[in-house]
Amino acid sequence: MVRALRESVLPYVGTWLATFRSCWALRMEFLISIVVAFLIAVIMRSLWLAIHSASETVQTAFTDREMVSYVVMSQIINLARIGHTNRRIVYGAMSRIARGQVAMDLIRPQVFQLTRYAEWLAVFTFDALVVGLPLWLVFRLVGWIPNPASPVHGILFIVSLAAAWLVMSGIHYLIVVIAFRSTNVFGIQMARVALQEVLGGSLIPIALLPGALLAIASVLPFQALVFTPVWIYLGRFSGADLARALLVQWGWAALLAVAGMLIWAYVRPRVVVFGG
Amino acid sequence: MEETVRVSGLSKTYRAERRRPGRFGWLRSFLTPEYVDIQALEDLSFEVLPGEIVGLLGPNGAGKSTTIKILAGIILPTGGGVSVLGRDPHKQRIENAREIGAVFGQRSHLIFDLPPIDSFGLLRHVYAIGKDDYDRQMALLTSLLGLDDLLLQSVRTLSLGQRMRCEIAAAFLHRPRLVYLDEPTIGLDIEAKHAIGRFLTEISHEQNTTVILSTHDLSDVERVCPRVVLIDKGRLAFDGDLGYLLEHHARERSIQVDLPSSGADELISGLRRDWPGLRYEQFEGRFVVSRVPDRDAVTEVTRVLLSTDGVRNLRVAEPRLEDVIVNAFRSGFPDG
Amino acid sequence: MNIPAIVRLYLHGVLTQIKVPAQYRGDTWVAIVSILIWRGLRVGFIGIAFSFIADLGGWTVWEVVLMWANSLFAEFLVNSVAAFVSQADLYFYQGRMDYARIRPVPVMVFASVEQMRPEFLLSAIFFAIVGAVASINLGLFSSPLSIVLLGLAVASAALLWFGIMLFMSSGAAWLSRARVLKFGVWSFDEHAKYPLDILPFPLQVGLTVIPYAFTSYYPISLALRPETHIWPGILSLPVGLAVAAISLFMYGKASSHYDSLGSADPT
Ligand SMILES: Nc1ncnc2c1ncn2[C@@H]1O[C@H](COP(=O)(O)OP(=O)(O)O)[C@@H](O)[C@H]1O
Ligand SMILES: [Mg+2]
Repeated sequence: MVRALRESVLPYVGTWLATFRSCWALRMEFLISIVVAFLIAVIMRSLWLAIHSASETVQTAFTDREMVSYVVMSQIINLARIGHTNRRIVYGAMSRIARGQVAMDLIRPQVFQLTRYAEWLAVFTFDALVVGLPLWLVFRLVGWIPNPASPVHGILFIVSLAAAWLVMSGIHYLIVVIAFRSTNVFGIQMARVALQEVLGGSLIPIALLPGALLAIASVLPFQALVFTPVWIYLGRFSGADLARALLVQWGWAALLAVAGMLIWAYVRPRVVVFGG
Repeated sequence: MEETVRVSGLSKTYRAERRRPGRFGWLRSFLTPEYVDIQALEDLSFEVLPGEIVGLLGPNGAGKSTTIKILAGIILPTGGGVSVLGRDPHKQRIENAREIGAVFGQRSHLIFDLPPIDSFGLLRHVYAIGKDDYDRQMALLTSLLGLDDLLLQSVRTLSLGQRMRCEIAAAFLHRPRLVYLDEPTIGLDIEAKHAIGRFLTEISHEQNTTVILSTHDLSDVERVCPRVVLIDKGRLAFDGDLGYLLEHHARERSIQVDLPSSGADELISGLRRDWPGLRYEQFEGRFVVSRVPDRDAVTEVTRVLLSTDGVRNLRVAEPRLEDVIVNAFRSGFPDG
Repeated sequence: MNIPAIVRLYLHGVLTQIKVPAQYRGDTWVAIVSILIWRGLRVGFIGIAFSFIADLGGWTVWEVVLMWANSLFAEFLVNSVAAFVSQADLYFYQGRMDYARIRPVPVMVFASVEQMRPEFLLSAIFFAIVGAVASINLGLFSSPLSIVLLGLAVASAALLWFGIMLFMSSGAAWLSRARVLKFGVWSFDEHAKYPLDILPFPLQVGLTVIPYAFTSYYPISLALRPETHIWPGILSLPVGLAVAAISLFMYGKASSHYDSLGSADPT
C-alpha cells in the first residue's frame, strides 16, 4: 500500500525536482523577470495614480494607498508573468508535439497531465521564491504595500494563490491538449495572455471594469488568477463573500482539471506522432 | 585542367569558452571567461578536379565539417587558404554561393510545416532560376531521387530517408557546379544510403557536378567515391584512390565464429601455423575474433573454418575506419 | 542582386509563409480572431482607463492611442519586413547561419524572408489602422506639417526598433544570455509607451537612455504639439539613425566572429 503510493508519487516528485533544477539553469531569465516586474509595477503605479487623482469614480472605489497596494500586489503575483516562463514550457510542450518528440512522453509510465502539472508547479514555486518574494519584500519595505489584512487573510491568501496556480495550470493544460490537434496555437496563446491581463485583474482592478466586461469577467476563470488573491490579501473580502470567492476559485481549478482530463481522453487516441 | 577546389596548408583553431568548475563556476566564468583553443585542422592540403566525386572520410571530430564550412565560405580559416572555382569563398561569398550547393546532415533547409515543393519554389527565387531551367531540373531530380510522391506531402510527415532525398534535391536545384554533402547518410538504412550513392554518381555524370561527400563510415564511399581524402584529428592521413586505400591499409579483416566445444585448440594452432600473421582473441571460450593479414587469406581461412565440424555463425566483418587510419599513418603517405 | 529580384523574393517569401497557417485551416481563423482579441484588448485597456478620466497628465485618449500605435506599428513593420533583426540569435546560436551563408543573397535578406511571419504583418496592419483612426480624430491629416512630423515619427520608430532588436539579438554572439534580455524587452515593451511625463523622473531618464521613449512619446508629442514639445522629439530621427548604425556595426562584428557550431544536433 505504502509502496504503491510511493511508486505512484515519486515520478512526479522527480519531475518537479528536475524542472526546479532546470529553472536554476535559467536563473538569468528570472533575474530579468524581477527587473521587468519591478519596472512594470512602478509604471502601473504611476499610471493608476494619475488616473486616480483625476477620477472621482476611482476615488470612491479606492483610496490612493489602496490603489497603489492593489496595483503593486497584482504585479507581484501576476500569473501572466509567471505565465511568461510557464509559457516557455507550454511552447516547449507544443514544439515537442509538433516535432514528434512527444512520443517520448507517451511511453513513460506517468500520467501526462500530472507530469505537466508537476513541471509547472516547479516553475511556479521557483518563480514565487526567486521573483515574487523578493519583490514583495522590496515593496513592503518601501511601504507601497501593507501586510495582509489579518493573519487569517494571510493564510487564506496562500490558499487562494494555490487555487490561482491550479486554474492557471488548467488553462495551460487545455492549450497543450488542443495543441495535439491543431499545431498552430500561437494566436490562442496570445489571446489567453491578453484575456488574462484584462479580465484577470493585473492591468485593471476587476471592480473598476465597465458593466458588460464585469459581467463577462465574473463568469470566466481569469478573475481567479490575480484579482481574488489580491482582494483577499487586502482584506476586501469577508464573511460569505470570502467563502464564495474561494469556492469559485477552487471550483474552476477542479473544473479545468477535469475538462483537461476529458479532452485528453478524447484526443489521445488520435495523436499523430510526426515523421522520424 | 583547372582544379575546382584547392585546399592548401589549411588550419583552423576554434576558441571555445570553458566553464570553470565548482558551484559558482558559472558566475566566475561570466565575469572572467576562460578560453581553450581547439585545433580542428592542421596543415591540410588537397585538390579536387572538376566532375570528381571525392569522399571526405574521417571519424567524429576529425574536422570534416570544419573543412566543408570553410570551403562553403561559412567560416574563415586561421591559416592557409582555399580556392573554390577560382575564388575565395568567404570574400566572394555571393558569387561563390551561386555555384555551390550544400547539405548539412544535421540541419534542414526545408520549411518544416509545408510540402517540399514550397521550399523548392522559394529557393527558385533565392537563386533566381528561370522557369524553364527550374522545371527541367525538377523533372530530372524527381526521377533520379524518386520524389514523385513526396513533393506534396508536408515535410513533418516525411521519414528521415524521404526528407534527406528532398534536402539533397534542394541542394541540386540550381544546377550547382559543386556540391558539399556533410554526413548526409547519418541515421539512414543501407537501402537509403545506396539510393543516395547512386543518385550522386548519376547526377555527377549527367551534369559534370563536382561532389564532396563527408562521412565517418567507410562503406558509404564504396562504389560512390573513386577517390577519398582521409583526415584524422585535423590532419591528412591519406589522399588517393579508394581501391588503393582498401588494398593497402584496409587489408585486415576479422572473422568471427562460434567454435566447437572440442578440438578448438587444434584448429587454432593449425591456422596459426599456416598463417603466422593471424591474430585472435577468445571471448568466453565461444567467440574467436581473428585478424587476418590480407584479403586473399580471408577466403582461405574461411574455407578451413567452414570445413571444420561444429563451427557455426561465421561472419566476416568490414575493416574499421580507425584501423585503416592507424595503418595509413603507420605506413606514411603514398605518392598519388 | 538587383532590387526587383529582392522584391520578387520577398513577395514570394510572404506567399510561402502565408501557406503555413493555411495548412491548418481551422485554427488559422481561431488564430486571426485571437490576435485581434489580443491586440484589441490592449487598446481597449486604454479605452477603459480613459472612461474614468478626461485626460492622462494632459494627454487625451486619442493622443495616448497614437503614441501606442506609432511604436507598435513600427515594431511590427520591422518584424515583418526585416524579421531577421529580432531572430539573429537563432542564426548565431542555433546554426541557421550555415545555410543562410550559402545563399547568393545577403544574409539579412535571406533570413528575413525565411523568418517572415504573417501574424506580424497582420499586427502591423492592425496598428496602422488604429494609428490612422487616431490621427484622423486628432485632425493630423489636415496640416502638411503634422503629416511630415507623423511620417518622421514612424520612420524614427522603425529605425529605433530595427536598431534595438538587432543590437540585442546580435549581442547573442557574445552573450549567450541575450535571448533572455530579448524576452525581458518583449514583456516590458507594451508598458513603456505611456506618456513619459506621468512616470517618476528616474524612469523618464531610463526610457530616454534606452531609447524607448523615442519610438512613441517624443516624436508623437512633437507631431501633436510642435510649438511646445520640440525637444527632444526633434532628435528622434538622428537618434534612430545612430541606434541603427551602432546595431549594424555590432552585427558586423558578431558576424565576422561567427565560427558556426560543432556537429552535435542543436535541436
Ligand atoms: N564552433 C565550434 N567551436 C568550437 N569548437 C568546434 C566548433 N566546431 C567544431 N569544433 C571542434 O572542432 C573539431 C572538429 O569538428 P568537426 O569539423 O565538426 O568534425 P567532424 O565533422 O569531422 O566530426 C572537434 O573537436 C569539435 O569539437
Ligand atoms: Mg561533422
